[in-house]
Amino acid sequence: MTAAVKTHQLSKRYRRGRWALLDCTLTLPAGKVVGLVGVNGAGKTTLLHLAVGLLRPTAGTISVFGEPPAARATQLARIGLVAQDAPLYPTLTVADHLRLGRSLNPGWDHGTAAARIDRLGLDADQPAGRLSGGQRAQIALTLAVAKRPDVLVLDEPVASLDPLARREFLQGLMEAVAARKLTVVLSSHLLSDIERVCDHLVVLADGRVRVAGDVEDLLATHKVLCGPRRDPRRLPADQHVVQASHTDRQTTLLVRTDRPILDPAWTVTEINLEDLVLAYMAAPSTPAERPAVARNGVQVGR
Amino acid sequence: MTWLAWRQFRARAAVALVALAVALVLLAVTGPRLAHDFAASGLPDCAAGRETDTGSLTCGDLVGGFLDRYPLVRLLGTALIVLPAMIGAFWGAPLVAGELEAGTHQVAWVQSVTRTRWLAVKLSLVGAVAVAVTAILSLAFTWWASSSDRLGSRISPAHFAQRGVTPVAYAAFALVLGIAIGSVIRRTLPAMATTLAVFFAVRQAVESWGRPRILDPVEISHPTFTFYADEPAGRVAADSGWVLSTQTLDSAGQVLSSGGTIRDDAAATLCGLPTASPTKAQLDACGESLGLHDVVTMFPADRFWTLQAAEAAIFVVLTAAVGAFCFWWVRQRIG
Repeated sequence: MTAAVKTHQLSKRYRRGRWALLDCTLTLPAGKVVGLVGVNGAGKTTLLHLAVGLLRPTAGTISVFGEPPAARATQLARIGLVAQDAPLYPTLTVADHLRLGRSLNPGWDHGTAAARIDRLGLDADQPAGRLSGGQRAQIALTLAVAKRPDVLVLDEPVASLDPLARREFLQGLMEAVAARKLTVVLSSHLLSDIERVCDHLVVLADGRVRVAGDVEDLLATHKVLCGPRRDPRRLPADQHVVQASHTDRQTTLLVRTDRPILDPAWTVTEINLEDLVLAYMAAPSTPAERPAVARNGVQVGR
Repeated sequence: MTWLAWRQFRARAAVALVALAVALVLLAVTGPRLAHDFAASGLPDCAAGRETDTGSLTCGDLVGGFLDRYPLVRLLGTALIVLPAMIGAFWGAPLVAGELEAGTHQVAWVQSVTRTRWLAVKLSLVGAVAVAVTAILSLAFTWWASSSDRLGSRISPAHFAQRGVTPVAYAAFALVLGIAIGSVIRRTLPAMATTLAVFFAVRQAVESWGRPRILDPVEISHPTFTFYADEPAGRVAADSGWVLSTQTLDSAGQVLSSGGTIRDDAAATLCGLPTASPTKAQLDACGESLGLHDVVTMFPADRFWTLQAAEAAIFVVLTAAVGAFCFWWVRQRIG
């Protein structure tokens, strides 16, 4: 597996003093659509901005295809960003933005960009300040795709869009991904979007990585166990409890394990992605997901 | 990158160029008439140190009347003081702060251009226009005011910053100052206000503390009471320069008056004369007996261009330092 983005104990603290991201060690595989899930303030935007070089790590490292992001122009050329709320220059027209893309990117694919704008039915002479949120998002996606990046980073691209615009946007994204062998990293707090388009998942909560993996693997290795009440600490060592709930007589556990469940006392059911994500977002971080190095080991902030 | 920099800047550049064109037309139209009026007014005599032969009007009256007929002297003079500050506030401060505020840095800084190059191109373009506009206006104004400047006032602090090359250096400094403050504060309006305040504070500091010290001033010593009456040429040299201080000393070198030349009644007291109205002859004799002499520390008018170059150099160095800070900050400290 080639890594598109690799982080090691990546941490970011803003001037206000809160750790927006802490001890984040991740490998995002190349050629996949990676979904980044978490509630607002979980650290999604921070992680994405670190990946495109808009932010610098307070501690730890991040690399995109082996190089620190935004270190050189050639490295910047490999990354495309659709920022949250798709900011554009309000006085520049749609055509101006394409011109901007062409003059700032040696790898610019003008045919694709013009065709996309054409297909969207946008007036090229309209200032970006008068476009709707959905239209702006489409322009931002066009800009990001037409520079022919290797990694396309999208920060809550559909959050402010109505359902129709959202579907059109995701469709456009999937077309772009299909046309080129792209790695996509996409953040959202809407699980349905993630479920539709992503094949790799990272769950963030409170600035920490709760779980990360291919969607298939995650679904295969997580099981819901239901049975008579018992202490979850007495489970086999290879079964990590993600979430436990008890009634007087019954215990329900979400466990992560690579092996089959052999204990006949449990009724084992599969879990769907939404429940899995919700369980990780709600649960305190479990030993299995906690990064290996102690917190204070990386708090040597700049 | 040049295209984007120009596309974002062209509206502001157009405003500046139109304003510059208007100013140049005004100067071109009024310039020849001003030179003619000056020659015909008797002021050249004043400039040469002779009293006028127009009779009832003194040189002081003539200068005042002349400047009243040409409000452009004050208007454009003020414009040249304000222009660099405006460049800092309106072109410099929003350059980075505006992008951060609108979030458009998330567009500009993820294209295949590093922040360093992004800033270098924007700074060069805006800087070139700022320097060109200021230089043209300043040199045109210097030419236009050259006849009235023969009255010798251009080296005085009131006029020094409106002429020659210093406005250009001020403009360059104000621009990078605005960019630096905008990058640090990250909000346009507070950055604009701060830029104005800091720019004028630095200008004032250099004017009152730096400028008198960059070059060695000249010391002129002359007898206190006989001087003004007997040596009009010397008086003009003193009046037309930039006087830093005047002291009156006695023959023992003791300072008797340091805010200016000694007052007649004070001298009369020293000599035991009646203080009410000593005659000129009495004062002359008094001055001679005590060895009273004035020491004037000053820059003569002919040091104008040397002083201009020195002050411009100070601001060029400041510009380089603040400019380097801008690059470091934008590359390392934003994000």
